[in-house]
Amino acid sequence: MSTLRQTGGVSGYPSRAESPHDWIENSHASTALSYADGLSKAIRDPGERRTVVAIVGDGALTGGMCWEALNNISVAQLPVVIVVNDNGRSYAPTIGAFAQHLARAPAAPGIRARARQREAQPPSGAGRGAAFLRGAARYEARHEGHAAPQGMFEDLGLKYVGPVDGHDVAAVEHALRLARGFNGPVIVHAVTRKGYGYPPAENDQTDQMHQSRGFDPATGSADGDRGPDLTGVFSDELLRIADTRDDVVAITAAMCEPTGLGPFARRYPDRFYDVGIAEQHAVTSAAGMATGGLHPVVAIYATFLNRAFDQVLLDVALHRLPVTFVLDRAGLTGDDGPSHNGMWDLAILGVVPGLRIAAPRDETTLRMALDEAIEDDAGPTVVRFPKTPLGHDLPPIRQIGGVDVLAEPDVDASVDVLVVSIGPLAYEVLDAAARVREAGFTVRVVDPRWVKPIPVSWRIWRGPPVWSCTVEDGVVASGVGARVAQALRVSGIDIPNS
Amino acid sequence: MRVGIPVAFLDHGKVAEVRTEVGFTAQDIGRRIVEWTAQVERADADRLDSEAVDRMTTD
Repeated sequence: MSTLRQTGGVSGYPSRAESPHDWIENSHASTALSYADGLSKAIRDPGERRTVVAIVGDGALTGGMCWEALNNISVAQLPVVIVVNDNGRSYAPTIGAFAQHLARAPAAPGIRARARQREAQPPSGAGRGAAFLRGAARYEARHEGHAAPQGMFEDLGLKYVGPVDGHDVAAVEHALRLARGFNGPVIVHAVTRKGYGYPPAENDQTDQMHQSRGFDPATGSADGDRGPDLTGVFSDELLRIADTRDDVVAITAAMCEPTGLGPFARRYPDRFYDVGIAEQHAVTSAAGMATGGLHPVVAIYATFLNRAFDQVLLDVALHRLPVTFVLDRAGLTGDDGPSHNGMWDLAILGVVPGLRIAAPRDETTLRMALDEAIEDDAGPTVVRFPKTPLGHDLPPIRQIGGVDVLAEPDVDASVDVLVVSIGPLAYEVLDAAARVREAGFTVRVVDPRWVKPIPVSWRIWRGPPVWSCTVEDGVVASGVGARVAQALRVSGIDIPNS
Repeated sequence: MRVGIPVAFLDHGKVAEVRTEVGFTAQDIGRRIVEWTAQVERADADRLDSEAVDRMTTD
């Protein structure tokens, strides 16, 4: 575990290279049941009974893919055991009607025993918790046998086992053996507590240490302070805008705090929507809100917007709706591995007609970009930035055609190389430009801030420089650089770019 | 020239380490720009030489 999420170490997510029991490797939620549906069909063999086991969290069950899978699994009636790990949370408490439905399950005997124990001996300062348990016990007594979730599953053609105490190994094993015996699709409802057995995690109200980085095992205290970042700047600026515009609403897909929407949610709870892990729904719901006259801000990790491309393209952009997407964790994210890198957005969103994309480089340009994006009522906008510590501001030396010039030779000198820097890469690009100067070339570094559409009318492209180069923290194919090259060709501007 | 992240699934690790792995540090970016600029410069010189030879041959 000491190598967790480090180079060459253990992955933070299932990895086929690490275990033969990891059949899939992905961190995007709600996919397991579709894999299980397909696997069960692929290995179907009348002569040999094989059972596919899929584990899915109650948080993941807020995603539509799960329900598409259940719709098919129930029809196929193949041996698929679906273990629902119901801890009542994704990062935050799971929201929505389905979570409420699961919560109505009569508690498993082990859980009841613990609840009784806690009720008899409430921990000091936990009076509300004890009151909740007493309330839950009364509810259970009233509704046992009437409101349990098996009814819904069995209506779908799925057997239901549970709820079982997910921390009781013997009980879980018994439930799994029972489930396998049905030789058809079965739900095993395992109730667990996130962070169970480690008090600092159990007591962490924000996310039960879901996002833990290095910490002291004795206390759970994080190592050091990350300091301010662009997420915090976005959070602050959105609040400032929301104070002056009551049509601005915010949407998250189960990631209120990590995306910086926490302060907004607390100040404007009636203008904040957590839709669960349901990015597609988040986008089209935002489209509906925009149709109704609101200006939604959908705050989401860059990698997760991949899941809602069609909704961005057709439900928002086709309708030219004023929805602002704020993509945090854009670019390389590192320790979460291949599925979390936010490196695809500039390429895939580049083909969406009418969508404007900003890539601010620092605090000032992020505030400006967000203001401009939310001010734009003509169509959708994107503001994307990485999760990096906040650097010092990089004010432009001057502007040419609305494009920020960050570095250039003396005014009278010719420019050999024009470097177009995208987003906070400007810090590295300015460093790189110094190396190019040392090699004997004169360099101008510019930052367009808005990278889609490409500002082909930039006067900066006319005349010198001799060569141009784009640097972006997205995939090199089909990204900003490719669009710059295309725009130059279309405009008949003859500058070597590729 | 276009400098970006390779189209590949990148293994987990610290951001700085992944950047080094894929040649995306300031040092890498600077080196690539210099190498590419020199390469284009050479190609331009070769093209001009070739055109001069063509003109001499035609004349």
